Amino acid sequence: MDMLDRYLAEVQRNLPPDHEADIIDEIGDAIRSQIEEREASLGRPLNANEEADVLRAYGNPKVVASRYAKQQYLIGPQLLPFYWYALRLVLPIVVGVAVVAGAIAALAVGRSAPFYEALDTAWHSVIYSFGIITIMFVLLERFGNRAVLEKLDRWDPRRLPNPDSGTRVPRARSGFEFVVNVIVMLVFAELLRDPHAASIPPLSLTGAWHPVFIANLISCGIVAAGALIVYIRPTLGTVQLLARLLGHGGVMVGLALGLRGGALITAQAGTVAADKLLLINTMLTLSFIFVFAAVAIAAAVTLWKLVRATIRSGSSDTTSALAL
Amino acid sequence: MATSRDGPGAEAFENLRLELRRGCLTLAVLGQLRVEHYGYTLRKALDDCGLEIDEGTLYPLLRRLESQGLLQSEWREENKRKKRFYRLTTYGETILAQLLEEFKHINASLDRIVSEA
Repeated sequence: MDMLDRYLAEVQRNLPPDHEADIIDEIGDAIRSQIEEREASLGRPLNANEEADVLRAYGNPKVVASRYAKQQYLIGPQLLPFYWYALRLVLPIVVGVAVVAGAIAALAVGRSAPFYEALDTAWHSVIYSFGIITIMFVLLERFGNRAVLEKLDRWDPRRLPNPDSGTRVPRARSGFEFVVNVIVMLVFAELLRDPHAASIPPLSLTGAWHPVFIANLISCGIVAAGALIVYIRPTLGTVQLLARLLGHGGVMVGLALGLRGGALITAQAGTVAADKLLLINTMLTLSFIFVFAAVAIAAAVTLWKLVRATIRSGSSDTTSALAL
Repeated sequence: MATSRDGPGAEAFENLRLELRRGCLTLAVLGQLRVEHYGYTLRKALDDCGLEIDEGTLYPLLRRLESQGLLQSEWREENKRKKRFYRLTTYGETILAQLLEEFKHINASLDRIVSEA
């Protein structure tokens, strides 16, 4: 089999299934015509190097074959912006969750090994997620119809955010807030499951902490949910403020219930002097009051920011926020 | 920015030149196929008119135009070799006429723009 036949066989191997033989015959004829033209100008047959030059100039067999494919893009220009958007949205969350899980595991066992294992998991999760998202968009490009593309591209100029409204939250900030609050939620969930985890023998926490843990768990959940919504839709900054306000309120409720629950710390009988125990409880009570005041101030600031953001952006953002 | 083929703007110019040519190639191929050609003679005819096109671009273009109904083709033996001859269909002639009209319109607009600048 000569060089041209091998070249044509390689092109044919990479051709789409329709009209293979036809295409190969045509390409073969074109190349033979070129070879004849060069032989006529040289006055002699081409040697192997010269024939290789002709084939090289015609093109890489894979590239030549690809020009006959109906679909030239893996992910075409219409879908590409949405593909990049999906990657930017999903991959940081995948990394964040893996890192959070690793941090929790490391804290729980008191060693760093689980954290490093989590980093390894994060890397594999990123590759896996990247692959899944890419495959989805490749399939959408290949099999998606116009209706699907129109749905993806649907947008309303009237709902575009006001760039001066100040309610756009950078994804790094909302993502960080989400991850931190998830970590704190997991800590409070663990404390609810095992209150003695926070005990320092012979001192232990009383039942007065129970409503504090529940309230903080719920508050962190609300703030995390708000951060996640804003991560997905950064222009809904008022949602994040609203979630924070509710979170502050929840923490204040929890602290108030904790204060009403009596002593915060107890000790095994005979291990700690009564006056010392009283002092510890008094200090903790004062701390609760201090934290309550600080959270109340934070809640007032958040409320002021929410009102200001709402006034700046008009009712549209708040309506969008409330519509959630 | 230098427009010399070897100057610093050579790559940018080359990319823009290819973009400009890409839009005209289909019209050139359709125009040339008012007369029957096979691939090699078509490429030569375009080359003689100053429009170079490589086979890697030409043959897939011919396939695409044929699949769109603008061209028809048949295999015939010439000089003891089978060659695929292309020519315009009736539909292709209509489209060519419309494209030529559109091209004249674009040309006239460009003349106005360039003369006003």
